[in-house]
Amino acid sequence: MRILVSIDDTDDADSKGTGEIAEMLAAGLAGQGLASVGRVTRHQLLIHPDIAYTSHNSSMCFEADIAESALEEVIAACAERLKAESVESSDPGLAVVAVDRLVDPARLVDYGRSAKQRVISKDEAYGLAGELGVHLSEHGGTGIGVIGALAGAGLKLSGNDGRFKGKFNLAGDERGIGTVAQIKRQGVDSVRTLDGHTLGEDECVRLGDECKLVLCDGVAVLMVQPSDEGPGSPWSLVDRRALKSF
Amino acid sequence: MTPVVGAGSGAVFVGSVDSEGDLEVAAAIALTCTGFTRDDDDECYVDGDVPTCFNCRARRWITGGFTCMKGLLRG
Repeated sequence: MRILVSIDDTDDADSKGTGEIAEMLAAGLAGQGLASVGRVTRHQLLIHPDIAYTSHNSSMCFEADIAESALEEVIAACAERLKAESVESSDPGLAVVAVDRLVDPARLVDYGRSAKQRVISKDEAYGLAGELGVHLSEHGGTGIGVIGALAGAGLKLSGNDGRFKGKFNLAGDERGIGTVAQIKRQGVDSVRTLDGHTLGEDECVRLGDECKLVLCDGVAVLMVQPSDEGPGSPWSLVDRRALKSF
Repeated sequence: MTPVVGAGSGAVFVGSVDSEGDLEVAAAIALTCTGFTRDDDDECYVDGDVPTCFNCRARRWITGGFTCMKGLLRG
């Protein structure tokens, strides 16, 4: 059974970040043999004076594959770990979505997109979670992290939001150049330009020391741009600033 | 003109990571700031390891810029 685990508001300015805690949750589930887990994605939510975020207002989400019978155990394990790892001054929230049991997936996606555009109340988050059959729980403080946790799940479900946590070091040839086919053998699903052009398998990319991947159409995408070395030159990785909108 | 508005803990950096000028100012501030700590890489928007307020763990994003949670922003 496919599930999404999403958390928010676990940290303060000096503690480990929410992304790190999401990775701990994922590793914990995998380590206990409860789940096969996917990579963590980061989802940017609205920056607004009426929202009590720490510094970025982003939530973190990962996908997992579990046995149907393990859902309650998985939720309990995530809740326990989330509570243990969150700082005392934080307001952590946890959302767990059993994707195939979702009553109306489009409403969860719409909610996620709304959380990037308007201020949402805790009551609204709980109300929607109840209607859709999503687990939503708070684990300390004011519990307002439930708002972003639910939004992170909706945005992940959309397949078109967020950046994958971590940097990826992609290997190329001795010149640091790799074909799309080579890149796709290293955990990247697609190589595209920001305006949506998908590169062919034989096209070449000049790989830097590190790159970031974004979630587009439900897959991990490496974004590239035309090289300034002229026609026929390998594609270049986009500047990190260009990924801000994801 | 410096994008830093206000003073002390109320100071605000009004600017964008998309502006080369704002990037220069943020780098100059961070270079001499005693409180600069690079944030988690996933929260950094500027490539490289050169200090910049845009990548600092103490910056708190607000609409149109950021504040310094340590009150160390200086124009």
